[in-house]
Amino acid sequence: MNLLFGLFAVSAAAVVFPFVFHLIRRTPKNHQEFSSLMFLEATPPRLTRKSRLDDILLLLLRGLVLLALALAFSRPFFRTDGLLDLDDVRGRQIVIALDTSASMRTESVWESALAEVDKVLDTLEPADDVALTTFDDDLTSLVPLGRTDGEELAAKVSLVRKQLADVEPGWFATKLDTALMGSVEMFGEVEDAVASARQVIVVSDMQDGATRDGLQSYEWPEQTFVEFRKVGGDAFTSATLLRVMPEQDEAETEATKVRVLNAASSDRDRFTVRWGGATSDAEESVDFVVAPGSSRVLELPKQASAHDRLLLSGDDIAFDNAHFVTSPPPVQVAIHYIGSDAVDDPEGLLFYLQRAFQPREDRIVEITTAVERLAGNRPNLLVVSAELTDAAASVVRDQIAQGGRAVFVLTSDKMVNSVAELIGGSVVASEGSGAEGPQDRILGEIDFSDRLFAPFADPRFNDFTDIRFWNAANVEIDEQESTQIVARFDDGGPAIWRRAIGDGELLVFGSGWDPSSSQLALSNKFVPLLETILKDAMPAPLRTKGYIVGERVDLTDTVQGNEVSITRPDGEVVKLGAGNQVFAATDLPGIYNVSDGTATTSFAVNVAPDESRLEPIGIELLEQFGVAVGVQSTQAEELEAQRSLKDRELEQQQKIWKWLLLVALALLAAEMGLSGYRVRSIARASSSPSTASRTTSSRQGVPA
Amino acid sequence: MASSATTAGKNGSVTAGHPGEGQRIDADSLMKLKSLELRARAVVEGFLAGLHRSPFHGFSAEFSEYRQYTPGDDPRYLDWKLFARSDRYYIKRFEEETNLACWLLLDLSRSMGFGTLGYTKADYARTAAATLAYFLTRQRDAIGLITFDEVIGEALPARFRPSHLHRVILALESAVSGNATEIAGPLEQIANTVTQRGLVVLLSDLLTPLDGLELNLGMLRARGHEVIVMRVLDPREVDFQFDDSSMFRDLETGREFYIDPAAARESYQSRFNEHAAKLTAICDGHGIDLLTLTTDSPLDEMLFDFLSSRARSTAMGRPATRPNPGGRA
Repeated sequence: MNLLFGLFAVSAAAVVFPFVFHLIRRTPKNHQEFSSLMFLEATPPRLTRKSRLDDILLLLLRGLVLLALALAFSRPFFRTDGLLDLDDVRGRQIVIALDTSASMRTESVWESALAEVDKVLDTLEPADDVALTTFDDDLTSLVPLGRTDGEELAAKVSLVRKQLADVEPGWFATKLDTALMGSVEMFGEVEDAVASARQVIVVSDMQDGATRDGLQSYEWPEQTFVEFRKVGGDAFTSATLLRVMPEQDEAETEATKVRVLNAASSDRDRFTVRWGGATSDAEESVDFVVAPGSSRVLELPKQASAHDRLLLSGDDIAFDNAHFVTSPPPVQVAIHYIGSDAVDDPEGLLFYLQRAFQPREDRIVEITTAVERLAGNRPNLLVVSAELTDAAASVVRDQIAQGGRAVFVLTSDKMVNSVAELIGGSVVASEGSGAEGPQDRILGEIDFSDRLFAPFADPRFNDFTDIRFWNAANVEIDEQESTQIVARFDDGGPAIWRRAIGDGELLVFGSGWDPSSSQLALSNKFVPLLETILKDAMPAPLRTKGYIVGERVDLTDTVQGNEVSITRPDGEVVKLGAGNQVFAATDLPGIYNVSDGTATTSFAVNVAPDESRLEPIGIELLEQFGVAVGVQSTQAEELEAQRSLKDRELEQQQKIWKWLLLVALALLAAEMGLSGYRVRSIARASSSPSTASRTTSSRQGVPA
Repeated sequence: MASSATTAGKNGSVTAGHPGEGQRIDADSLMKLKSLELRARAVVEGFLAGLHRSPFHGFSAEFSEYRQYTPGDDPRYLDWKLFARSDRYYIKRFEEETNLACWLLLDLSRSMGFGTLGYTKADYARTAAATLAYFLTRQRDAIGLITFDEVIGEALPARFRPSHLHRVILALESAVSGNATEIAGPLEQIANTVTQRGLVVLLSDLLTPLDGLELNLGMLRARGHEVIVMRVLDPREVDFQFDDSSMFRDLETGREFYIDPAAARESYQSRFNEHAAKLTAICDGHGIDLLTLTTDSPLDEMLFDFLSSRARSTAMGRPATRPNPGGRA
């Protein structure tokens, strides 16, 4: 017989109580007052043989009642088949995801993380399977799940330990969502995954800067639990340095602005920022106070040529204290204008075009009008507002076909013909063009999905109704697939449309922006619109504000020539071959020097700003995204649980406790009958004086 | 015990036989009377009714001798007739000139609160004290009352006045039971305060250690008091006839333990008798009459024994000593 709740069986010890009460009963309840006990001595209570014999049956009955009750509460059952053993129970599949992001470089955090992984490995059971992954902005699988037949867990664990020895924290940002989703995917890569309990153990500093938005659209699989093992402390002084990029109108200021954020958990508020270089740091430094949880913008002296980084000191966290800064030369952008108006003519188009492209720190726009410069020199953008001569049209066509960008402004019907010639028909001036005099039109239909208008897609900016057009050309377009109408006037005529020619593209404005044609040049939409066109046409410059670790740097427009060599901050030189001018090995913060043989430029790579947000992430936030936080039971616990479940089922089927309760009731009835009989016989005996003393002793023997 | 005796009053002139059995009032019936005075009167009147008729000369009736007058003698006692005959002054002297001053010392400690007959030893002792007071008042003796437990409670001086008896009885009725028995202290105090020689009747169960008792009784005797110790005991205290095993609680100390009477009886009686023998020895040593009264014995027996004791002591010219084994008198 087995017991479901063995602890209740302890209550069977209560069977001694009737006997104890019996003994206690020997000490009479009646009290006798006496004048003085000076002549008396206490009589030791004794259990006479006679009294025991008198009540042994009653005692036995009461003891049996208690035993039956204790047994019933213990829920006994008979086990019909053998016990489950460990082989019948599933093991666990454990994916250890170790954070190797830049924030793990914090002092002692990495050691704690390794110790935590060790702990996990030490508690594995023989039936468990283990995988090791590391994650920062991507997940790297070092040891996959799955064990070959006969492979011992110890071999797998030693493999994991071996891999672990080579792992070090990098400089990348933390993408917790990618890590979690990738870890879960690993379970699907092994065949017998269904039978095992799936457990992801994330060993990380669980910083608030880790991304988690990706989990929002992810359906978390059932029965897969994540355990977060946080390493590192919760309270530290952490300040973050960010460069504040100057506004356009501040381009000429001498000072460099930086923003310093002090973490809410900081216990210090005094910090120092100075310029630093590869060889020596600046003497001059800026001391300042930033209250915990707030930020402050500081002005530093302009960057000296020997300095390439801003250094922050005063906080506990070192990895984000250097912010690398480069000043790449501005990009030269060439615009060629073909038109009849002069630069200083406010009634013309060029006047506004030139004012729209003011010089910036990262870009210098040069507008040329001399036709002779067109030949042999491909400008980034062609703006045409006059009818082209045949020769000019031929050059323009060639340039567009080779990848050039051109904007045609239809200032006259003749220009429509030029366009038609350029694109080979399909565009004609519609009837009545110019005959009805100036028409007051606005843009009626705009394709905000087009890249030209995409910046205006927000409802706050998409109102173009206050821009009126008077001298718009009436054009009819045979709408071929290659012609894309970006905007139409309210009468349905095409206002702006684009057409791909060869590798290049032609953008046509149905109306000019000069004040005699429309209000476009006077509108606040004008400059952004032209900037969009120019951005589309100009080469992508290297970012002044730099890149973050892991970001791909497109050097296509920066360098010329086939072979590009990039010198990393650690001195390693990476060469990019022809056709591949995207540099991806930005895994270290610092200054990367780019050389194409003729010119040298550089770009800065910094640690992601989010990586400095070290406040702990709320696990409940992850739970809101559907992540099942929990710990899978070990094999031994599972075995115990299954045995217990099986026992409960057996007990439910057998229900012996009911029979035991019946037995207890029957015994109780017998006991009541017997004790009633005893009481009656005592009463009879006490009515007879001769037996008084015997009755008294009898009564004393009856326990309560 | 003598069935009849010649007992002497203070003048030694009363001759009485022991009251007949039929005239006795048993203690149980007596204690049913609520009034203490009625009880006393019932005992005394019943007792006197049972006496043999005998001449009672009374106070100052018995002539003793003449003595020549000396200056300073009370002229009241001059025998003028003799002066007339002899022309000399003679003072007439009597056997006893003064009334007896009797001090009733009543123990009201907690142990006296014990009783198995429907009344306690204290009730019995009160009644006995009231009886003695009544009797002695009738004999024109002065009576005083002192009740005590571990300290003195009520204390009435010895006086002879009809109203004084009422005061004594009232004091007896209202006396409350105290705590432990500390007999030595009160006795010492009485010995120091009561200067007038007289009869001291101690009513107590004397269930205390006897150390100190001897000294104090001796002190009383040394002051010239005649001392009678009336030991009041419940019959159960003598025979320890309890049936049931019980938790026995000491009335004085509150101590409680389990006792099987059957097992404890023999040892109890042995110790009790030893204590009684010791007490008797003390009393004998000081010429003190020890009368042991069980609460089931009629009170007229007590009176009889009292008078017998007085008679003996008067006859012998000193306080009588009477051996008493500690059992019933």
